[in-house]
Amino acid sequence: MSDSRFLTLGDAVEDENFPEADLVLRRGRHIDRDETALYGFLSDAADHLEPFYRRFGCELVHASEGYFCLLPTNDKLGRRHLGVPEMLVGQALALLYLDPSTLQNGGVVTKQDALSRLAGVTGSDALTRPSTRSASGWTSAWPRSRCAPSSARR
Amino acid sequence: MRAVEQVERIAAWGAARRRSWSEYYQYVHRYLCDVVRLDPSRALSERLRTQLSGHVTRPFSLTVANAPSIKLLRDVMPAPSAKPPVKRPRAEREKQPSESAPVDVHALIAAHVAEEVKAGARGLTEVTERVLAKLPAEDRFLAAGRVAEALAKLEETERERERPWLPLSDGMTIEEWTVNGAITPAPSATEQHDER
Repeated sequence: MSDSRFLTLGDAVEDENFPEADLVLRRGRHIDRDETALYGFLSDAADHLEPFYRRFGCELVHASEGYFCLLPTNDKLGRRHLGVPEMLVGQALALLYLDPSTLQNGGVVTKQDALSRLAGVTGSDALTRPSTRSASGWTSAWPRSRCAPSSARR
Repeated sequence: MRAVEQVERIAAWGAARRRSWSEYYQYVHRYLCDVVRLDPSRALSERLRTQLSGHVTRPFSLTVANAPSIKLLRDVMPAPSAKPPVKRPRAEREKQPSESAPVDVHALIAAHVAEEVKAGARGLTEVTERVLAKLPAEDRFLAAGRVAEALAKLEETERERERPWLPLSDGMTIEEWTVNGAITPAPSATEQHDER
């Protein structure tokens, strides 16, 4: 805390980056190192903001991979579970990031690359399984009990 | 001039290439830190592959924050394009009926005809002209025929073999009759009104 440029929580809240960082985190987005201003602000103000968000029932997570996000621990702030398509695409992109062949393109991944990798790993049948979009977001035609959140399964 | 443009173009191209190379260098450097150093045995890739292939049988999902946006109520304003409804001030549109004496047009015309004959008019054209002058313009066409009817009842008229048609000042043309003399003295308009 000693190397932080913010002495108090008030200093952090008064910073010009606080409103945008706060809104982005509350909407469930991750802030990674490419967003230099917001990531730098959160890195400096994390010691003050962690207890601040804990009062809202959220944990301000600073992952070693280099990103910040809010992890809700109760329903005070509102939360949602990512849908099946979001989870599949996210894992496929992570797999592509780890693939050395992606280095040749400087980390640029096309839509076709992502779909090909997804189809190769999960199989075309699983990929083309129908998904429908409901008012609350993407839901799969797979059994609802299987899509229950991890906390519910526990 | 062209040499300057060429130099500027080469400078811009060089800056873009340097920026692109810098980004690529940073990306490779990060990849080496994240993947090669932290996951040399590629265990993370293998774990991801396993999760993806088994997602159908063992699905899971991440939980993220989803705070709803703040809703600010605004003042209700009428749409700018909405025109105000057509209105007119409240008033009593129905007029109350009033009592008035009926006007017998036939008797009135007969009285006028009698007056003119008495005054010396001796032809249908002359009588009609004088009587119509006393009436409103919109009633004159209708009254012209009634003048002839009243004159025929009042006086004995005479028609020539050749019946001349003479114009009136109102644009009408009527057949001319000649009045011989008084047969039946007709009451004046004032007398008829008194009788009613």
